[in-house]
Amino acid sequence: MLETIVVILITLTSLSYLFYPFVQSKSQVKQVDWDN
Amino acid sequence: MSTPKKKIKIFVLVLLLFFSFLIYKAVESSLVYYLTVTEALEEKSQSQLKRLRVSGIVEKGSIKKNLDGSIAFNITDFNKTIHVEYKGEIPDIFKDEIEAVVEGKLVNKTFFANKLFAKCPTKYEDEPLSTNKVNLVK
Amino acid sequence: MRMNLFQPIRSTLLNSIGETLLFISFLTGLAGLASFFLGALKKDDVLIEVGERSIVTIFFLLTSGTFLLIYLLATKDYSNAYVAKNVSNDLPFIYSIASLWAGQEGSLLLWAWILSIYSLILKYSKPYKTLLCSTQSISLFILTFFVFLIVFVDSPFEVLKNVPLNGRGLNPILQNFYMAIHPLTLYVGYIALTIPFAFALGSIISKDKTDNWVIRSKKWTYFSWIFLSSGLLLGSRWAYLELGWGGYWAWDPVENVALMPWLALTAFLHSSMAQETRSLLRRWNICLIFLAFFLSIFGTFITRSGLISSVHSFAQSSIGPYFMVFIIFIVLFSLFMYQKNKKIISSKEDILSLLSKENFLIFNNIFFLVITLTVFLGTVFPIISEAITGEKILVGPTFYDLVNFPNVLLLMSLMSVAPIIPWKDAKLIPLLKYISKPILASAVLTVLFSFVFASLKVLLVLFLSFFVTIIILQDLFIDFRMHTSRGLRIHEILDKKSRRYCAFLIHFGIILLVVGITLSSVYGTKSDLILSKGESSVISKYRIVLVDTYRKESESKSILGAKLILSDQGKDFSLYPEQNIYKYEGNRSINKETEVAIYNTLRKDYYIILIDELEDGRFNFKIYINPWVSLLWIGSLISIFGGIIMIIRRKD
Repeated sequence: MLETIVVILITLTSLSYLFYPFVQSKSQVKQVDWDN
Repeated sequence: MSTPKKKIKIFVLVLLLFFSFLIYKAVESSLVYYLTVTEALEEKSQSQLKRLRVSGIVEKGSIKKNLDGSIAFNITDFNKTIHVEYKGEIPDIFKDEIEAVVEGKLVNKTFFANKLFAKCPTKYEDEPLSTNKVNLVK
Repeated sequence: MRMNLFQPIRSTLLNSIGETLLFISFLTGLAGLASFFLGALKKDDVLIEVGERSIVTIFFLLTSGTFLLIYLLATKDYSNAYVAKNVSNDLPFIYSIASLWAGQEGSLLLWAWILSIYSLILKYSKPYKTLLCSTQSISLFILTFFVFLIVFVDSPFEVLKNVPLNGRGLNPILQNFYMAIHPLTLYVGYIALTIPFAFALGSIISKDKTDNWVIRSKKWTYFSWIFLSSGLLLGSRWAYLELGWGGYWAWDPVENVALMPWLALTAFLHSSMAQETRSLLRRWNICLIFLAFFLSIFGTFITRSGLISSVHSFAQSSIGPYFMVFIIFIVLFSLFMYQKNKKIISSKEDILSLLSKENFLIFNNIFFLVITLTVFLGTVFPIISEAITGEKILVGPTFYDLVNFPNVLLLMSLMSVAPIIPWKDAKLIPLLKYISKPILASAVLTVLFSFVFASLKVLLVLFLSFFVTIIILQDLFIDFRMHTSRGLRIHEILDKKSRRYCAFLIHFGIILLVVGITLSSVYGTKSDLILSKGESSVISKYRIVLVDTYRKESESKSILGAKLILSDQGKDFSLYPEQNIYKYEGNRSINKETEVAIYNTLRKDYYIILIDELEDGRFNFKIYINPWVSLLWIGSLISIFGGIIMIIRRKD
């Protein structure tokens, strides 16, 4: 039981941090200098 | 300008030829044939003439220490056996039934070794762990 | 003992958490790679940001995983299979922690973790351009591969259904400070090569026409060099002190694969100067850093696949095939990208003259590559010969010495002149004038030394060593004179020219190392000796007395020792070689331990091994006298120190 909770916690935290940029507005995201 | 480039390329080519020759000579003078016990004893392998490395298992009870500091033992591949004479440092692992590698010359069925290695026991092998086990109760 | 009702539940929980952390890392890696790929394609900032966040996420997950495994090792939790295989109840605490890299699963986790740290640092480097994106994605790809291995092939969090009361333990030969630190040091160095490689490949992928990748990789390459050098030094020192055969390098495959990346990297460090200063040798540098990285991965593969048997062989392990596929893929991909973009990579200018620093750097590359190739050839010779002739043929140490010696002499020659030769086009006459006094001085010194050392080999090395050193001193002197006349103070001069002076320091250290190796190998002696208690003997000009023998018991071992006094030209040295038998054997097969007795002075190492007690009560010894071996260690330390100063002083 504890196991399942911890696993879900780890997964959710990682995924939310990872995909957060999708919910940010364009200007909030770091801009890449695409010119090379 | 292509002339410096050409000069460089020729220079490099000469160097490479020199090194190739050097490598060839070096290989020739340091070859060591790695054989099993059976292969070493085969007549056709002409092993009497060459510098050899032979690997095998140290026969149980065959290790004898001589009074002049040298040791004698037999190594076997469970098909044939060679008698080895060796003087020098003895690896810490060296004892009955371990895998040993000897380097030297085979003269009339006796191997005169000037180097002795013993194979480090592998760390990743599936060795059974201690038999004192306790059952995990879930 | 430790067994209580909650123990089993907690252990399974911890191992599950570990597995989860690794598995989520793998998924994150895949998501990140997809994100980087699509982001680059669509030039989408959001996707790139997700890609970067995947690296951050993996870092946190792996950090947790690594510390979790360390915790399990520290608490000797044998429900974890890895802990049970590498730790035992009698193992001192510090070696329980060190066993993190003793076994395959642990060292793969460690590798992935360290790489995630490096990748994270990469994320914060500036400027934030396309190059950084492609570099990060390559780094992420390699990271994901290693995570793949520890999730699907060899997990460090495997659970044992039947928990043993004691683990198998660590091989006593590894319970030694040097041996504990040495693999970790090498790892830190090897893994650091991933980043310059990623920069190089990334620069090709992002069609970068600039030399930025070299500039941004510099600190990483210095860092890697320092750790690889230290790792090699530690390994040699350990072999010398612990293995008990009087030597420090055996040209064993495991040693060779640690040396080869170092050689390629050292060549790169020199060659990249041409690109930084003059944008030349661009293809060389890509190739050299590719080579250094490939060799480091190849080395890991070799030592873990059982492909080449050495006296330190590891068993045929499960990760071999995967590594092979990974190496083949990454080599082919890199070569393909290189070929496709050759025009962009190539230098825009040509080499103008044979007599120029850039050309000498090319020769430098060639000589280093010949040594690397030689070592490689010697290492894989048994495999090739068996494949071709059916017979397994090895090459002995003399093979390496024969080919490397001329190469080292050639490198030393370059070491003397290349630092002072100008770029582009040097004029012969001024150059000859500059080196005429140093040549003369070196020749005179060499002739003087020829009365002490009669060996041609030694005299050649000495001549070149003097030549390098005197040119360095001459250069320093001219420099100082010029700068002080302009009003600069000493520390200001040092500040201004720190990189050059550090290079001189490193070169000087290498010179000492080569001299130490040459003198000790040419004049080193090896003798057998059998003595009874109280008996003395004379070996060449040394008198040795076996004063006493003793037997002692400690908690963990039975000790047989001897006290010998060696007399050398009036000075007496006491040496206590020992043979120990460990009491607790566990399931280990080594319980014997030879303790070599070494007395080192600057001029000589007196090295005695107690082989055995003979049946008639006499004792069997082996004695090595190694002259000037100290120079090897001192020189290495000086070089590494020079490297450390260099990286501290580098401003970008």
